[in-house]
Amino acid sequence: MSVPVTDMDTLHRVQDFLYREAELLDEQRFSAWAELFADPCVYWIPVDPAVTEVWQGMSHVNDDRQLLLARTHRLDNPRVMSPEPLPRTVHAIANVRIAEVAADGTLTVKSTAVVHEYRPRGYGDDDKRAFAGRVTHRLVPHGDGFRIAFKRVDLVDSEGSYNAILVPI
Amino acid sequence: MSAIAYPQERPGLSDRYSPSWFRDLVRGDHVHRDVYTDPEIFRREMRLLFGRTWILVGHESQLPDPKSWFTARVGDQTIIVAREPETGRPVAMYNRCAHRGATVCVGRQGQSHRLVCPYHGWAFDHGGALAAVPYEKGYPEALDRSAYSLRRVARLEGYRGFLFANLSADGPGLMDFLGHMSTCIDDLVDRSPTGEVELVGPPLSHHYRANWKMSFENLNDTLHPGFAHAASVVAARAVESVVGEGNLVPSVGMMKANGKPIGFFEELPMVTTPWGHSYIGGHMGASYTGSTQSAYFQQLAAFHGEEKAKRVLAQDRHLMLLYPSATWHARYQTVRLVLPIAVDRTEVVGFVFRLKGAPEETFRNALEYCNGANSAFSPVISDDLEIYERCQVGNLQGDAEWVPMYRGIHQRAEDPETGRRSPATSEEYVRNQFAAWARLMGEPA
Ligand code: FES
Ligand SMILES: [Fe+2]
Repeated sequence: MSVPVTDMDTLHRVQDFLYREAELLDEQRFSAWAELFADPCVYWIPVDPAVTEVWQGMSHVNDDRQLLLARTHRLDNPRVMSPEPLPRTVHAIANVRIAEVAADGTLTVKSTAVVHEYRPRGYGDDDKRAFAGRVTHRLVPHGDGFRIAFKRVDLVDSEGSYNAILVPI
Repeated sequence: MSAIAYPQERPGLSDRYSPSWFRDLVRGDHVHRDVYTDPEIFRREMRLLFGRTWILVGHESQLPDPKSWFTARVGDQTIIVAREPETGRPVAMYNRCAHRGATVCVGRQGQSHRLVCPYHGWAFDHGGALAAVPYEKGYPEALDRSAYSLRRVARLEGYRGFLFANLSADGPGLMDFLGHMSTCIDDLVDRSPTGEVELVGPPLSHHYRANWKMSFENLNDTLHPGFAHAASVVAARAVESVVGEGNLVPSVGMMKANGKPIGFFEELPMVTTPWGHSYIGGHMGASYTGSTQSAYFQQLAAFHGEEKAKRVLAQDRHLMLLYPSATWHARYQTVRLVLPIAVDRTEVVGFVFRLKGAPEETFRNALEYCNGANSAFSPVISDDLEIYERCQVGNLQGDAEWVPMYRGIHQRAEDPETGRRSPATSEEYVRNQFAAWARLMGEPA
């Protein structure tokens, strides 16, 4: 393993990949978003920022490939009840940096995500919300691009309580 | 059977908020919708329901040593639970400094030599006694320190490690209040091959903008999953068509189980007991029950004997409701506290327990359920939260004031051992909750 210093080309490709991931979520193309993940994969939002393994404690999200497919299939189903109408989001991705390059080419990428969400329901007081978290991706090379083998989001308020969240962060 | 009529009159118009008016809100087969929306009713619930019943506040494993403390909510009150220094016994105190009232302990839990108020430094021991006052000479010598302890909560009692607080010194004892429901606590603890369970890590919480009673009325409702959770049932079936039948991971299998036909749920039992408690038979099937060859079963058999070990693992109760404070799932070591924040706001705090000494798969199995049952991100729970909020908003519309709760009223039977039995499709558990509600709320305040 080595820490890359000036591989700007790889960094640009990684940034472009993360921006496209965010765009798919903001365009509500959830199944297309799930296709960015490798098989097997982990999409994880832990409660306790100190844990290092998915089965150490409770998680807001602890999706393997099957659960990820079920989650996105549901959101793409026009019969789905609770996301109706679906919240609209803007995922702003920043501070992208390649933290590690493994011998097999797997990249560990750190970034931050700030998500603004609007839920057009016509009543209530948390129809506009913001989420923020530090994100770790493990990206495996795939063709010209990447697949997500692992994604962990550490929300700044991971130990807080949330109302229903539909659109992945 | 005589026809069930829609109530025509408003309850006790003459003296709103009198004890008899509260009793009139519940008709046996209908309940008045104000119980969900009126802030004055909510305030009275804090005093008469949450102030006079046994409220689950936590577990002894949260107090591993003499310096430990944790905070909890009982209705609208915040309490501190710690071990009294003289006896080591858990006691509960209101979280209010005896000087000017500042909150003493902030956060979910901690470890400290004393409970020290951040304002002027008054320090209390873990039993609440005032142990030190900085700038002592500034206070009259005659100051009677014992009068300035943290005020004790009237009662704190444990059952198999689970701690319950009661703000009132009067009323039934813990075991009378639990009644048959104590076997639901046994159901969880007996799954441990050492007889001990341990609360793990920070809880997983969600909230919703609706009344606290909505969760209690939803969790034993077996009619709604096929409708409210239809999209995740369809999604689980779609995944199964890709991975092949029988190959679903447990979390997706649980989603799929919500789509079982109504006739299946009708065959499951619903048990209701005095004070508003209830549970229904399990429907998810998939569970870490352990084959008789497994290391877990061998451990459990060594602890309980083989026959009891088999009985413990075969027990399948789904969502046991301990009215009005907690719901739990023994098979998955998951306990949820339902915290009423305001008439239209509720927080649900989910805890998971490790079966001490059991193989790691049992904990993983618990987490698999616990995440799905408590996360606001859960494809299933997010439907329920939406439903609660729609009911809250809907109950403020129009002039239809009564909510029917007569489903299954003709299908119930008395059961000498457990209380009353109904099919799991019944609304008997809602009627049972409101019977307890009316009894408590109809008391003089
Ligand atoms: S308010 Fe606590 S020491 Fe003054
Ligand atoms: Fe539900």
